Amino acid sequence: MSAQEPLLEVSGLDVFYGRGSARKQAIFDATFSIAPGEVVGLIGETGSGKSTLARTILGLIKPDNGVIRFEGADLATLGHRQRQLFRRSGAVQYVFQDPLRSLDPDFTLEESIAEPLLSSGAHSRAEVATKVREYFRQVRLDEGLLSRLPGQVSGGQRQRAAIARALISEPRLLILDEPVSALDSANRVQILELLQNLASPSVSLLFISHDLGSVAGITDRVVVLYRGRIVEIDTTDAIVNDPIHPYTQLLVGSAPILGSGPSDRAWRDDIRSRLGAD
Amino acid sequence: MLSRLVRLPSTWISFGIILFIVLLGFFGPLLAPHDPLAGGGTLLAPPTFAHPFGTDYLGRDVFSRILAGAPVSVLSALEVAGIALVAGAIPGLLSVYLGRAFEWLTLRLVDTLIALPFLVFAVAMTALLGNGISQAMLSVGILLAPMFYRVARASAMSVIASQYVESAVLSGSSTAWVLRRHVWPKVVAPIGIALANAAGAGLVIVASLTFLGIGVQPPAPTWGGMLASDLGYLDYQPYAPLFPIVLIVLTVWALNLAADVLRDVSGESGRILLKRRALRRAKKRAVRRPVPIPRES
Amino acid sequence: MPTESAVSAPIVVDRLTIYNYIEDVPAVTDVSFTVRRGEALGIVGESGSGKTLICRALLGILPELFEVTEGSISLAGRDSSEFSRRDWTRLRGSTISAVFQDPASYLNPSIPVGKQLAEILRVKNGLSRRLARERAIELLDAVRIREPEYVYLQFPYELSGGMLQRVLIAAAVASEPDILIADEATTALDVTVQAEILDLLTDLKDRLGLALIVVSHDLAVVAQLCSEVIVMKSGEVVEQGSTAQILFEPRHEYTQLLLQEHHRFGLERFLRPVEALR
Repeated sequence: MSAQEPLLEVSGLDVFYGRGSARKQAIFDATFSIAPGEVVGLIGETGSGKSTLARTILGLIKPDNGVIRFEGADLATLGHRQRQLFRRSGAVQYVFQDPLRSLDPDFTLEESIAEPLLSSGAHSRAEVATKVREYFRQVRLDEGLLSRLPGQVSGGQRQRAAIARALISEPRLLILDEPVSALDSANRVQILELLQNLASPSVSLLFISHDLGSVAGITDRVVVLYRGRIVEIDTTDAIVNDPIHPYTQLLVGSAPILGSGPSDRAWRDDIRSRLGAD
Repeated sequence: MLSRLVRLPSTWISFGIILFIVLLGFFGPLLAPHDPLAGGGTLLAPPTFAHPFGTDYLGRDVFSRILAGAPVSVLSALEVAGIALVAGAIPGLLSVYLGRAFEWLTLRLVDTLIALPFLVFAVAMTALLGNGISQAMLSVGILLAPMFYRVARASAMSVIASQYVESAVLSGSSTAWVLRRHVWPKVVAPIGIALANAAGAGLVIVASLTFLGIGVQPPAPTWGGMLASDLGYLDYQPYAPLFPIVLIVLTVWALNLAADVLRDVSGESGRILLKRRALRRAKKRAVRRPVPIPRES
Repeated sequence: MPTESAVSAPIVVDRLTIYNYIEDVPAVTDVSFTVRRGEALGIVGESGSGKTLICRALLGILPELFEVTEGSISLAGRDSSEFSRRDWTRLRGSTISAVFQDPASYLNPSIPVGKQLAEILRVKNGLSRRLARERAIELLDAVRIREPEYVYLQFPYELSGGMLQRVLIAAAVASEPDILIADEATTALDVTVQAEILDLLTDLKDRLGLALIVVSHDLAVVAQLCSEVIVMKSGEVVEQGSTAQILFEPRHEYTQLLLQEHHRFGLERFLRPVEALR
């Protein structure tokens, strides 16, 4: 893993938001990388800056400092036209939390999935139609649903369609923002299974979540973000069993675990007071 | 949306009346049994077989004048709505894209237009440009434009802020693609609603203007103008104003109904409304059959 | 059938069936349970499984066209089918109370939270203005809000989701009810905050002798708090039993799926046995 050239390398990233006196720093000196084929979890609570970090990688927010290197090329310095070309290449794709909002309500599932290919104009319609069906099958959706609107299928089916849309341009990095938190258990398991099978040497996944417990099992490594700072990066095993930073300890200690009662409250209070003292 | 549209009776009623009025606007003058400008008959005659609506103070056939006045009254209302649409909706859509300067400028312009009173502005315009129907329509059209500007801008802004547009942008879609595929289909329905409303408002304003003698010179017949002259002879023919009034009210009502129908079947509010209707139907069903059949286990 | 001891229990539900007249199908079929003071019952199921309908039936606020058609609910020893509108109004708050998922939507955004809490005390408990204020501050303190006098004056938007949920819990226990329902009360919260709220609920249950009903889609949350668990799927009870039985000898495949989700994708996958005993 380490000997390989990383797929994505973020270093020294600072992001600010707001103007004038309301200007605040959202991300402080973020540095991490994702190797080809790796599954990484980006974990942080509400307001920790995890969505800001993801949106910066996607080029939706301009960083004030730092480098975002994807396959060796710096994404932070791309011009408007270059960025559009890079996006059309489909190398990095994004799956939103709620497919009901990220799919146009008036597009059929087929139209939504085909959009990334059709809007670039580089593919023939017949070619696109075949590909849409191919990826529809890959996410295990029935072809009869192709002509349905997002509002006419279940939550699980919608999220599959959103994943098919992301996959159709054959990305090397798939960023998923809370991809299963809007789903019920049966669908969670199936979507996570699907994503687990997806990870291969040619596709890396970055899971963004507030709940380590919901995605831990699928990740190789975890990046813990706390108040805009990356406080710990390690293998999931090490994060779960030997967390070093107090926040990580609190995060792991707070997660409800099957078959064990709540963790020691005094211990958690102690950590919380240490965190508050920072 | 279309299938929902045809199921509602209000659709048939409103569009039926509108169609009738528009046909009247095109073919009305051809159907007139008498010359609308030729007087000389009995003055202020009550309705007879020869003159179904009676005659006016110059002995002209009222029925013929109503028919002959339809084009100016109806078609000018549609033209007013058309002018407002072009002058309002296009800047409204562009205000979302062309950057802050354009946005600021058009917003201030729209604020100014909204602050102007309709009739006073129209009177001032005719004073400036001369008294004629096209001057009147132009001024009314421009005054109605803010309605379209706001509707187009508001719906375009909500679409632009949506995740599916962001999602399209992230897959490299161009601005033209986003406008054509995502924004346009979403703004068509609200603009259609505004169009129906504007046509209704336009009809009333054109009628008001002709009532005041602005836009069309006598003896040319218009609904508003007839209303004005009829009011002078109320002592002799108290029913006379009803003929133009009923037509004006009917048209405006049909246009408003059409706007309501369009609003109800399109977009989020439409879905909620139809759901509520389904709930009401279910309630009736439940009342009819009060005892459920419990499942045996 | 209710036994001698169950009669004195604050809540006894016997063969409850709720019928959905909109779609003309049963929404909840044949649910029975008893919760005694100081005990907690968990109801687990996905959205649409009928778990929220049960809560609403217990509170006498079933939506239009949903009706209890069979079975009975008895609250504090009285059959709820005999309750008039006024009985229900009196009972809610003083006998049975509830907290839900989105705390912000249950508070008026333009009135300080403490004032809203005091208002409840004045209306429900007939306290004077001054006493209500004192008692409200006491309650805020009881739900472990630091600086209750300060929070009393704050508006809902100034408080985090966890704090708002505490305020609502304070409101729910203000008139010393026998029964508290927590319907997905921690779902929208960060994991570390969720742990605190769960601690608080356990605390209140023990201290005030509440009969607690915890409704959640997450089996681990429910298992942590409750001694008995009901697993629901599409309106039917698929499994009911002691927590240990559900966790270690699950019989129904849906329960197994819920457990599998944790074991395959949760922290449990990485936890070493020693850690699990923590």
